[in-house]
Amino acid sequence: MNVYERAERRAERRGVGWWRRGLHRRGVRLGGIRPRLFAGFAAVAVITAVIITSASYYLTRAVMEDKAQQTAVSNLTDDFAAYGDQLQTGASNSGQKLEEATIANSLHQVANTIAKNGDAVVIISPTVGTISSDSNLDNVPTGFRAAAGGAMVQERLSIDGTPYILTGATLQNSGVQLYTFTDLGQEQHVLDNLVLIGAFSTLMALIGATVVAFFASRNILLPIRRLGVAARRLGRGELDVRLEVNGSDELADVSRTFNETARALALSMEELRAMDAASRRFVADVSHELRTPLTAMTAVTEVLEDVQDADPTTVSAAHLIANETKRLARLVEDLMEISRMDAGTARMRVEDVNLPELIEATIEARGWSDKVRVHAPRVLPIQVDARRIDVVLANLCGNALKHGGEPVELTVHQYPDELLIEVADNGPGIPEDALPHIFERFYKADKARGRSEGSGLGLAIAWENARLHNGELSARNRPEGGAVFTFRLPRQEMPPEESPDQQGLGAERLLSASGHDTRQWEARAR
Amino acid sequence: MPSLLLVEDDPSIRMAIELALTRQGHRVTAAATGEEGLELWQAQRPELVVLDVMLPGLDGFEVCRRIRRTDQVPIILLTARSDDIDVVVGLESGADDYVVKPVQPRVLDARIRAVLRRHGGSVPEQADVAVFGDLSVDRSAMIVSRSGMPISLTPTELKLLVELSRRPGQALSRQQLLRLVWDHDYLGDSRLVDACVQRLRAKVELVPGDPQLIRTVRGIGYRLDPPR
Repeated sequence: MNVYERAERRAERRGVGWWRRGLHRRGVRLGGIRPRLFAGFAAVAVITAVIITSASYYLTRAVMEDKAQQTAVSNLTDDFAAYGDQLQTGASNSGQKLEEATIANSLHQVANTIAKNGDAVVIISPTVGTISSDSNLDNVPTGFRAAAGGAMVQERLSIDGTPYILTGATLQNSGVQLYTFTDLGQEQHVLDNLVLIGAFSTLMALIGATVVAFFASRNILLPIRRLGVAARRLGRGELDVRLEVNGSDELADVSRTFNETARALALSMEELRAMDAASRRFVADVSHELRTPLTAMTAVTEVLEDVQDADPTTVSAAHLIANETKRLARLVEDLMEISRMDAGTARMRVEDVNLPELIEATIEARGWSDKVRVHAPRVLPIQVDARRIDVVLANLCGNALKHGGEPVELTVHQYPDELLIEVADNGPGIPEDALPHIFERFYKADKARGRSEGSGLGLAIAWENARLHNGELSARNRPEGGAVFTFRLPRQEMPPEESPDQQGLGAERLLSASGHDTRQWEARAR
Repeated sequence: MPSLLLVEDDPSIRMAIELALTRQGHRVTAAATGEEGLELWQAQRPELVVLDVMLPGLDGFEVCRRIRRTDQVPIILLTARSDDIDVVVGLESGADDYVVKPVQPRVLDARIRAVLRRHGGSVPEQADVAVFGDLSVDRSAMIVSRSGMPISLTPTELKLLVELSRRPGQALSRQQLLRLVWDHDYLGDSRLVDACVQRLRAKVELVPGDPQLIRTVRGIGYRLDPPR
């Protein structure tokens, strides 16, 4: 289980932090479902809000302008009716000859009076020229003036950024023209507010869309993530992993399919295991049955070995049977040992051992004292099953002596949490294509060599024994020649010695090979 | 010539081991069942019993227990290595040693001789008695007694107590004891020691569950303490 998966498990347990996990694990995946959902929801929200805002903006503006225009027209018509006579004085062909200043003054008064209803008023008289109620607004475009000569006309225009409606008409038979500038500033203000409200609504819609997208993607992504986690666990061999099926959507279908697949996989694995177990049991049974005749044969091999005074054929035959009986006995013992390991019934008897002493005993017991050079500290206490370590070391050294030749060097390297025991020889090394298979059962690196002394199970048994100690064996060739077998032995806290007043014998010190967990053992012991 | 009783149900194995042991110079009587074995043991009083564990009817453990009720004759079990728990049960029922089938006659012979040696041994001239509270170990006469009452010990138990009593207060490792008592090498089965210590405690301790004489030394082995 790597770091991410562990973090994932933790987060899964907490049920939170999935988003952070997503970021941490893969970085932000731009093409992922979540960004796509977010983008889609945001686009829909923004486009809708913009369309609604624009539509209402233009509708409102049209209505407001229309109303303002009508008001302006009716106002102008009223003004002509009310002030027609006074405006008439501005005409050049009036009956009474008046001073120009008086006329101008009079028209000014009219303009100011009319202007009281809010509009700026411009009067253009043929005699006194332009009279304006607002000095800023006196410039009526020439084209508009020409148009106003015939009928009442209107135009929308913007002066210094302020929108106006310019309405104009000419007094019948006098040539006096009256123009009003209707200020649309208030209407513009309303429209500006509308835009502001539109923008705000768009923003709110965007936030709303984000929230919706968040939950929608969660509803989709969470099952997908669960599916991913479950698939990974299935891949790791946890065949009992199942998904919770919620609802009846497509994701539920996928979950159901996953569950069915896992169930089918578990079933076929179970069948395979049963077949495997049956064949292993067969090997164990066969070995067991072979042992009874072998025990009888082994007991009398010495008799055969001592046959000397018969004819040469008989002597040879007797010796051959004696030797082959020993080989067969070893093979059957090895087969039974392997069967026990396969069945998980191999027992560990952990003891406090001084490793150098154990190495010494192993080498001495096989008469290799002159052939194996040991480089180890004098005292190195460890907790192991001495017999199993003996088997490992004896196999490694025996193998090195047989295939590598003398001198064999056994070196113990100490590290804080493990020991490395290296067995190096000066032989031709192991063929490269044989290296990966060297610990396989009945594997022979050199096919031409044919039958060898051992059972063909020695290194496989050594490997299993190393594994029982949570250690491992590996083989490689040295650059300078020769093979090196390395036994990595973790320095772990093995079950403690029984307490002084403990009555039970040995049985508690037996450690099931399948249960490597020391804590479990301790719990049982207490 | 030591007389042995061999109890083994398989006729071929029985015949082969009888042949091999006879060849090594032992006088062998063979029995095919536990019941026959017990009869022969009572009739002939052999110096040592070689006992197969897997027997029809009375099994090896039961035969061992029955013999132990009245007799301290050395018993060596013939066992199959796969049945690891057998060894524990066998040693608890009072066997002195065990060998694993298929056994090399040489190995069996060596074990037999080692067990028998525990029985005999050279007798020193002067009295050699160690006293631990009310327990006295007479190493010259090979007698252990509590408050003057002799305690019946098997040769192996006696040898173990004697070796411990030679080094009072000093911890002996299981490996050392295996070598001193059983003549086994470094890789001998330390459960032999544990089993023998349990049996010895049952006989010499006042409260076997709370041993005051034979103390376990954690991580090392055992030591014999003079009582405080």
